[in-house]
Amino acid sequence: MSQTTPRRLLLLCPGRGSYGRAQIGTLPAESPTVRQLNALRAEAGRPTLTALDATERFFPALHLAGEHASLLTFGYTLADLESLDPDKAQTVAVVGNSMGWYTALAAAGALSLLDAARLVETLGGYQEGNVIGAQVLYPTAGDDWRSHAVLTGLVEDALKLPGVYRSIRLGGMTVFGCTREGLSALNETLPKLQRGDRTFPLQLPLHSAFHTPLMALTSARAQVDLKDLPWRSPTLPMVGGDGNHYGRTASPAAIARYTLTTQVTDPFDLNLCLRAAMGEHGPDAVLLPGPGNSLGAATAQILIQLGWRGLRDRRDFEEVQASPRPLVISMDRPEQRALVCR
Amino acid sequence: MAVNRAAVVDQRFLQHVSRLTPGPAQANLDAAVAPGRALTGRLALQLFESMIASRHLDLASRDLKSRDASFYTIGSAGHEGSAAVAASLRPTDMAFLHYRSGGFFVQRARQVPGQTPLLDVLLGVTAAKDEPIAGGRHKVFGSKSLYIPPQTSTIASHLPKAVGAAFTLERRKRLGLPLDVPEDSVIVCTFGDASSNHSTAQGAINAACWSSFQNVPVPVLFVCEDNGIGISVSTPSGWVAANHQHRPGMRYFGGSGLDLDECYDAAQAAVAYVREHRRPAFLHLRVVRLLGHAGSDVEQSYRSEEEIEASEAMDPLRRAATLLIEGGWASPALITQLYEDTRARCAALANEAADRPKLTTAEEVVAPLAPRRPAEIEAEARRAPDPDARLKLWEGKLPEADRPRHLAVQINRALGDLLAKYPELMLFGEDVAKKGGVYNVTTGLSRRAGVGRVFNTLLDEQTILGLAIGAGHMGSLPIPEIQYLAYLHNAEDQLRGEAGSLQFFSQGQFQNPMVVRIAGYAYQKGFGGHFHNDNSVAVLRDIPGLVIASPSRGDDAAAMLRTCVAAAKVDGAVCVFLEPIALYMTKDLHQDGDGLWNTPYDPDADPAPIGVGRVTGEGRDLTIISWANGHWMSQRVARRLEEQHGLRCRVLDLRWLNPLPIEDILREAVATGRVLVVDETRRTGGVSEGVLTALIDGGFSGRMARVAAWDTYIPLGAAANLVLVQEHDIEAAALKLVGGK
Repeated sequence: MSQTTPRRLLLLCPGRGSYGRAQIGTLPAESPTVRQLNALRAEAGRPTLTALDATERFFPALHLAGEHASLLTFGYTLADLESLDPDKAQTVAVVGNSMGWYTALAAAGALSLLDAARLVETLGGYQEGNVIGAQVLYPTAGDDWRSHAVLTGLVEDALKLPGVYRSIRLGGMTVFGCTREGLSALNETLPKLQRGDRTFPLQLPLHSAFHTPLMALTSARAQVDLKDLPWRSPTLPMVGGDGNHYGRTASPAAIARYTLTTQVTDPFDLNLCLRAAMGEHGPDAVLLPGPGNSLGAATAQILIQLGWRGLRDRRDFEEVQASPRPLVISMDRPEQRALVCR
Repeated sequence: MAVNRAAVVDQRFLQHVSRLTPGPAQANLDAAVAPGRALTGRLALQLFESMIASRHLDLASRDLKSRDASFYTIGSAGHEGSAAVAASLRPTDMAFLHYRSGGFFVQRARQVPGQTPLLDVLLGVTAAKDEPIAGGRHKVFGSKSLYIPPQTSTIASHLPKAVGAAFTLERRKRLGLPLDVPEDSVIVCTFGDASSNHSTAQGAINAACWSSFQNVPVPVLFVCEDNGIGISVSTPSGWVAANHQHRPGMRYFGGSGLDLDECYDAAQAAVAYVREHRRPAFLHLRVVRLLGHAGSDVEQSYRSEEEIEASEAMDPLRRAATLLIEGGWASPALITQLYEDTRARCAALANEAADRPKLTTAEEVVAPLAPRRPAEIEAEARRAPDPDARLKLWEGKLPEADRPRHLAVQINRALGDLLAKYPELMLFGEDVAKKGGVYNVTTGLSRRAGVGRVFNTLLDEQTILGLAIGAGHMGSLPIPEIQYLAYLHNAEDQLRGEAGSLQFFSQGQFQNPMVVRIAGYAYQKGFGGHFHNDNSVAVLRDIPGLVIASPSRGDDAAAMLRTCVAAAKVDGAVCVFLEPIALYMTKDLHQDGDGLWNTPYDPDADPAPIGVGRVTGEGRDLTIISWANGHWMSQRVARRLEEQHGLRCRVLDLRWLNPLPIEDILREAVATGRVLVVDETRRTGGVSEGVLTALIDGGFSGRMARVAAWDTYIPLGAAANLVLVQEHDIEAAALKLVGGK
């Protein structure tokens, strides 16, 4: 890749919960984005992002709580994007996973930074002491990152349990959204599965059953509380978690409607979203900004499903990643970050 | 050196945009682009995005071709306004698109989440096996989720099926059958001005008018994208309008396909008319053809530079840009950015597509051609109709109670049972209803099953077969009848190019199941001449995947018909059921009154598996292989050979002409070491060629001979017997083969 041709990148903003133990003390406090968001938080009497980042260690009850984790992830991601070198990186489209959609709205210009922050704070604030149901992870891919028929069958069967919904299709992982009863049923029904240091089914701490009908009241409340949000046509094309394209000529009302209604209550299909974005924009790579690298595997698994650049399995993916043209660029990894940053 | 017109068109678009004077910026993009127009500024912008996507796909395809990575360059340049037609329709309005409807395709994809029309088209032109509809077998506009069955048609041969789908949509409503699209859906088909002259197009339009004229609803929209030229031949100015403006039963709508606002208004009006009135409409859009007919077409050899430039000056992209910029709906910068971004996207996706894997084995290529699952077909064939439905259809008098009867009656009974078994089954053709067909094979069925299911068509075989294809697309199970084999030939492409190819070009995602009944062959005592005695089946035998059944006896006919319908139901099979006219009423075999060709009707009889013949006799001296009339004659000759010459034969009835019962042929041949093939079809291209080839391919080393009809048309009167295989021919050949034993 020559110096004069920037990489065409699909920006994938991470969801809530990406900021973890390893990120303590890594938020760029000097970032204009962070400074603006800090001011917003201070004005609201909440701990600033910088303060949250400066704690001596990671406190799950603090850092994972919706009212903090959401804006922390949001701000971290947007601050990261400030480091992109336009000579090396050209964003051709923007998507997000789950709450990352709100970050994507800001990154694509469908909302201003502060308006998007208000959206995040409003919806994140609803979570304060008010977790509705739960989110549970379970894999559908094997160790080779190809779709696994038995696991997929288990997940499809589990989706028939009362109180269990699909919340997110996340590469080779399914995120269930469920009621308390649904949570018990999932734990009883799904066989325990050990992957590395994680045991599935894995409940995400302090997460509600996002993207399910259980969030209907949240959607209704948000439509009232945020009815005056000044939406705009994005300046960069977006693709939603429903696979819909929202280009530069998209209706702001359509983006608002999706964001506050079906995005809240219907499954967020990252697989479909990435499929549509890759097939429509043909980026050189998927850029993962923000805290951690939680979407790396999911993205790879989706690219394998698509057969993108001939990928068949994890080994192929790792080969591509080791080449000068990696398909996924994580800003959390210094050597990959250097490909797109100053 | 020839000028690269693609580059010229590309550059002049950008120049044009740069020279436009922007109007005052519009405050509300959702306002109409002009008073009285339905098109809003935002929709105009979105249509423009689809148009430039289509244009850049054309340009990318040509660029790929220059790298030997594209295999198809017929494009949509100049026709991109069809995006406005798509925007006027719903994504569930089934669309049969010709090869210049790229704008339509991209725009429809915008109406359904998760679509990737750019990559899909590029995978098509690069023949990548990941291409989602044809899997590298052709470049088509097709998509299951977009209700766009793929068309490879070049001559409007997809129009009859569009009429058929529209007819069936309404017919299913009348019959109370479910639809997987909204009840007020319409069917749309697109084609060019040149192909509108083709008999297939005119036949389809005529059939729609014929139906509408008698108030039979046919909600079909014919969209003629008129660029004024068919490859190098100009369409007479005003011809398309003059030819279609005053057709009975069809409303004509005209407009410019170059101007988005006018095009959208015309499309909206035409779609609203069809949707509301359930009658056909003809939407005539004037467009231009840019970049020549295809990438390989040197347009300069038949058009002057002035003519070419005049067309290019009418580029619909320029006109859309003018509307958007001068109207204040978009800045030149935004238009240029959208255009260049789309170029970059297409270029990147073209590289991705070019590198995708291709089909690498013949087995891969043919995999979706004609899937066959014998166990499932057998189970389906054995599944009994609802007893109450049977009793009702037969009015309490079940056919199995009757005495043994002849072929025509047994086919009638099998059809009756199938009508009772499958509510979605429709039986149609010329004279099949009240008259019961020329040979009474369908007698009483229209009364028993209702005129909505067993009905007469107009006298046009293309329409009959097109109706069958369209019926399949709508979820019905059609049994069309072609009155005589010779009448098939003018419509054969509906089987060959259309029905037979659908699963191949859609990887089985779309199916058009059908069982085409055809009365055929000769031996009608010299009556009727060529057109009623046609004995040529070559035209059917080489259609890939086509099942050809041809019974000789009534019991076989019933079992084979059940199998064919089961195969259509289970695998979407396209079957031809070739019935020997001369045996319809034949009751006797060896002598008058013996009744040996009558058979009992058994509704629970074992199914007749596809590609499995039936053997009579266990003789060790000679194997006679035949079918239909030839089989009946062979049975008679075998008896005489035994009685008069002491020769003991076994006689194999092929029953299936495609696939041939190869195992049976080889086994029975080896059993005697001597094979005589009795072929009532023509010597050249006849079935015996296939049988003898199968024997040779199978390593048969015994003696082989054949008797076949002459390569001629069948004359009237006794002269017919001079050119058809006669029993004495069979006998003589048999004796010669066994060396006068």
